[in-house]
Amino acid sequence: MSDLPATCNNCLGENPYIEMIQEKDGRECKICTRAFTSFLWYPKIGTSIFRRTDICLTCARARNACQSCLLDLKFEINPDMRDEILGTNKHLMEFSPSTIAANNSKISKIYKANQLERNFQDEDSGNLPRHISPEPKVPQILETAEETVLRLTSSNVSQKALSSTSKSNDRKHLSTKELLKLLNKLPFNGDLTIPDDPDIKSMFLFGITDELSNFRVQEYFKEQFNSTLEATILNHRARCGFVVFESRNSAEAVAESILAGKLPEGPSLIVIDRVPLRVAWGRVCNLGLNNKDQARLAQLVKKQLSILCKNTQIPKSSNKITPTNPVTTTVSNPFAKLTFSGNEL
Amino acid sequence: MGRRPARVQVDPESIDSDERPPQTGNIFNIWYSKWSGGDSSDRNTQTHSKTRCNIERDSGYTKADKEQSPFFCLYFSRGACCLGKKCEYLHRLPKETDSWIPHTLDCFGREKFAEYRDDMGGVGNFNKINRTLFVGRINEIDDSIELKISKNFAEWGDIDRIRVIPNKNIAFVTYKNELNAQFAKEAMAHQSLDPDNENEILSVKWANEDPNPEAKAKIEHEHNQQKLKIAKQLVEKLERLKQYESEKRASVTVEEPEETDDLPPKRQKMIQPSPLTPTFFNGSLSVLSELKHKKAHPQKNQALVDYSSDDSD
Repeated sequence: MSDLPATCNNCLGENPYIEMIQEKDGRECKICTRAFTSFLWYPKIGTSIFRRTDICLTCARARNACQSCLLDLKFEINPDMRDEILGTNKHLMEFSPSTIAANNSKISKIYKANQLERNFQDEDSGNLPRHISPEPKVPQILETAEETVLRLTSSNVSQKALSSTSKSNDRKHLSTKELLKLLNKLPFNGDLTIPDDPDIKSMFLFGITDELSNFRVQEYFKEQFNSTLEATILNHRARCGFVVFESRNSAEAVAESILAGKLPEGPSLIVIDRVPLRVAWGRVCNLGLNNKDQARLAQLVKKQLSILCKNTQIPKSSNKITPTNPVTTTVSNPFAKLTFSGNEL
Repeated sequence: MGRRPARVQVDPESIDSDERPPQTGNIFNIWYSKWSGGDSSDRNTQTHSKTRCNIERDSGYTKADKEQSPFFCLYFSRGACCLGKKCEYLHRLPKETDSWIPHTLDCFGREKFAEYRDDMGGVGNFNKINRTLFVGRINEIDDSIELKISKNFAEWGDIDRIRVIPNKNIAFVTYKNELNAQFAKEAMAHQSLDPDNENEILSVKWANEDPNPEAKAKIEHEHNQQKLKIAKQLVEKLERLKQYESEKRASVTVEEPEETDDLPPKRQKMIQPSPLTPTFFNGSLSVLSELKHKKAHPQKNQALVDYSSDDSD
C-alpha cells in the first residue's frame, strides 16, 4: 500500500542512508488490529536495537502520529496531550483512534478503521472535500500553546478539586468511644524525649496531607539529618504514619537535632514541603483495618492538631502563621500558605 | 558508588535446562516453561521463585553500560542472571534519567499493548502511564504488614505511596517513576514478603485507576501539571521553529519552481533529513503525501491507455 512508513525523524535515526525491511501484511496494528505493511530498521549503526512500525498508516494518519513511537509527527508529544493543549484534530473525532480503541470488539474496531481509510482515500482522490483545513501557521499554534500555558498556570481548577474533596470527608461523625481507644493506642500526646524501651526506633508522624509522598519524607530526613530510613509508612487516608530508622542511635540523633535546645513539650513540629507535621516516638502498629477506621483516625488527627496548635506557643521572632484560621487550613487545604522558616527546627 | 562489575547471580553450572515446575496440567510448553490444560486455577500453577534480586549486592556495570541505549536485564530483576558483567543488558535500577525508553516499550525492551490483559498482568499498556502496582495474595496480615510492604517494595525505587487493604489481603504500591514500577513488578512477582516463606506467592499486577474521589482529584492535578510542562516545552519548540522559518524565508526561495515534473532519483533525496532541519520539523508523512500526489497523474493515464487498447481488440 505504501512505500514509506510515516515516522518522525527521531525514530529514523541520524543515518541518512537507512535500510529498511518491508513486509506486506507483516504485523497487526496495535490500535485497529488489522494487518498492515510493516517496516523494520536499525536507527543506529552497529547496535542491535531496532525500531519497527507498530500501528497502521490509517491510524497514524488520523492522529498525525509517528507509526513507530506513536507521538505527534511534528511536535513529538503524545497526540492526546496535543489535542488537549492545542485543541486540534476535533473534526476527526467520529473515527479517531481513541474511538477505535474504545470499542472492545475486534470487528467494530476493524469496521471503524476501514471507514476511516475510505474517508482518506476519498480525500486523496479529490472526491471528498478535504476535512483537514490548511495546516495552521506556526505563529498561530504558538499562540494557542501560550494561551494554554497561561490558562493552566493561572487556573486553580485542580486545587479547588483537592480542597473540596477533603472537606467532604470532614462531615463524617465520630463516635467518642472508639476514638478514645485509638487515642490510647497511638502516641498523639507523646514527645521526643528518648524513651526507656531500647527497642523503639521509629517515630509516629501525624498531620500528613495527600500530596506528601513517601520518597519526599525519605529525602527530607536524608537532607536535614543525614539519616537513612529503613522504612516509611504513610497512611494518607488516616493522615498519619511512621518512620522507621535504621538504628536506635540514628533515631536518637534525629530526635536530638529536632529538639535542639527546646523543651520536649508534646509532639514536635517539622515542616516538609510546607506541610506541617507533628513527630513523637511511637512503636509501629496498625492504623485502622478499614476505611471507616481510617477516616476516624483522620478526624482524630485533625482534632489533635488543632489542640496542639492552640497550646504550642510559637516564638514570634522566627515563625508566622498567615491565615486567620490556621487550624482548619492546615488539614483541609493542602495549599494553604503556611510560612514557616526552617530555623525553629 | 564505586564502579564494580555486576555479580553473577546464578552459577551457570547449576542451571538445569530440563527442569520443570510440578506438573499441574497435561501439556508442557517449553517456551514459557509452564503447564497447560487440566485445572487452570491460577493458585495451583504458580510456584515460588527460587531467586531474588538484591540490588545492593548484585548491581554493577555490564557490557550494556558502554552502549547508548540499552535496556534492563529481565533475568537480573528476577535475581537469575548467570552472565554477570558479560550481560548485554543493564544490571542496575532504573533512574529518572533513563527516560529515553520509548513509551511503547517497557524498561526491559518488551512491547506494550493498546489494552491491558484481562487479568491486568503482563507488560502493560502504552495509552496510560501507570505507576501503581497491585499486590495480591498476601498471606498474613498483622500489625507489621505495612512495614513489610514498605521495606520490600522500597528496594526497587522511590515510592510515592502505599495503600494496604487488610481485610482483602491486598495492597497498592505507587512508584515515583513508571520504569521502577515495571522493574518492581518483575522483581516482586512470585516472591514473598518474608524471606523464603514458600507458602506465600505474591501476585503482582497493574492496578486499575483508584475510584476514590480524593485520588481522582490528585490524578487530575498531576495530569494538569504534566500538561503544563508539555505545553511549556511546546512553546519553546515553536518559538525555535518560528525563528527557523523566518530565517529560511529570508534566505532561500530558489528550489520551489523547479520541482514541477520530477525524476525518480529525487525520491531518495527527499527521505534524507536535511542537516539544517531541526528534528521536529519534518515528518515523513508529508513526504509521503507529496509523493502520492505526484504519482497520481501518470498512473491514471496508464490505466486509461491499457483499457482502451483492450477495447479495440
